[in-house]
Amino acid sequence: MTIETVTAKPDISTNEAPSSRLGRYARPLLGLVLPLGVALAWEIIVWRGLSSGRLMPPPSRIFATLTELAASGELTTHTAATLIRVMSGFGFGVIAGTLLGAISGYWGWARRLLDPTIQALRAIPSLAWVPLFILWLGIFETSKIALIAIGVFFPVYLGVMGAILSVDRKIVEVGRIFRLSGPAMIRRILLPAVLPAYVVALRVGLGLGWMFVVAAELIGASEGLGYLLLDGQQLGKPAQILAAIVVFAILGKTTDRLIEIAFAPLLRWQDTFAQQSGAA
Amino acid sequence: MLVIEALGKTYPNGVHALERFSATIQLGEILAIIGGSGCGKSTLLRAVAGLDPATSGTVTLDGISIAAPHAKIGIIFQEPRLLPWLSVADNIGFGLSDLSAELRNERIERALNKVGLTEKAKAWPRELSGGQAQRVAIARALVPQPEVLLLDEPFSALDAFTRRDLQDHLLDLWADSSAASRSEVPETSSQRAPQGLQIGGARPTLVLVTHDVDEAVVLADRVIVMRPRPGRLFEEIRINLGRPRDRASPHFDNFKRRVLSALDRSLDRDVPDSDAKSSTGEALWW
Repeated sequence: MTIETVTAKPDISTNEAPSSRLGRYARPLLGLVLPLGVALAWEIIVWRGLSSGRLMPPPSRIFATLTELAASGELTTHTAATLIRVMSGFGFGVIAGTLLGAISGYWGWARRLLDPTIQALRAIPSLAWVPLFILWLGIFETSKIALIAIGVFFPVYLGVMGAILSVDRKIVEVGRIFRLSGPAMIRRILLPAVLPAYVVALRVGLGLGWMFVVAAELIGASEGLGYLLLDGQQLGKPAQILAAIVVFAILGKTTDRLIEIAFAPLLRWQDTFAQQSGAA
Repeated sequence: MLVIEALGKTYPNGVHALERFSATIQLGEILAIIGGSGCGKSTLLRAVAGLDPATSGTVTLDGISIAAPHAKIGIIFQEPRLLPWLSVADNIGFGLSDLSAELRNERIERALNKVGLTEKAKAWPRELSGGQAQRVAIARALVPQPEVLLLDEPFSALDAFTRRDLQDHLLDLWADSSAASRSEVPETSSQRAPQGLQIGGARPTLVLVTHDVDEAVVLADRVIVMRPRPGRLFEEIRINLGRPRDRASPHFDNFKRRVLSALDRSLDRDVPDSDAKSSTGEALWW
């Protein structure tokens, strides 16, 4: 029996060590297998002449369009215009959503006063505001940023209010036992308790922000990635449309990841499924 | 001295949870309150803690009326209620924000050492076992050096072994808290910090709510049996046993039987007699 355990131990360790080391480097790459595989397959199909690739250009043509746009400086102009719109709209939406969500979550009377109206407004499809915004705010930046801000506002508002409402009464009682003042209760109990849900709300809000910037730019813009989409459609340049979509994907993923990275140090304490499976 | 006088509580929904409960608890005494469910024992403890004020009667600690949480009164709940975003050390130091960092760390370190979790200082609460988490909760309640420590079924969620372990551990902590407080930093260190133990130089008062007869007899100097609907005092039993107590001794058993019998009578149950066990035993079921 003792011999068995002695021989079994080294076996386990030699089996585990390389696989976990491999896993650490291979795991992030695993996500790239599917898109790269599809791209490669399509490239080969067009290259072998099985398809013309006129409506669905192969990756090489999309990449060529991207470099072309980048060389002419157009890519920078359009990307910057879109980024500025998303960031301003996101900023306003987050500020308003956080403030009103916190007020509604913290004070019952404020919730009874504000929440029904906000929920009613939320039921309106946000794009329905577009004609009104154009009349009120003009066709230029303001109406676009307002539309994006509205898209960002609702998930942030709901996330903050819901998070405050669901803070565990038992944890709040710990604060009461140690006689925390109102501000100390907010800083030491409520804020940390609400943070995980807040980060999720921010990420959902940002996603909607990217969605609404396209809507805003499709409606009428002379620059921006949405304009590139529309321009590509009107002039029959599918490669340009796909190039813009690729840029959207990269920007959306990057900004989302930035939020995640920014809050990660504050959320290390979480006992989550993701953390467990990541460590395994 | 903790004085509870004619304490009553009726909840807004009309439930009459507690009626004219009175008790006087000396500094350093361990009082266990036991009773069936709905006898108002948790209501009583929350009123003494100042969390849910009573509707009638008063609670005073050394002549000061208690209507809100007080620095000299600590509480340990059934669940550890650790703050998941703070390390074990920071959880223990949660109630010490008035102290300087140096003094706070010193006390946290000593508390960690006392509850045997020094190597877990930087761990997150999620990484602790149930027993370890409750130890941290005990340390968190004890580091501000309360004069009165309330315990609301503190070990009922733990397995039998861990429960016994923690009962003994709690007694140890209670027993050497006076020794520790004398070697404590000078009294001038912080005016605002609760220093009941230092000034009195005595052990804290423990008020323990439990439904475990064994636990009550192991820990308490005095057991109060409560009677439900509405909750009120039914019987008081003094446990005249030295410490440490031997759970296997006949005296211990004797006190356990007395508490059990009082508990049965408080619930208007027939007490099974040793000669007529079968007949009265059946009566219990009908």
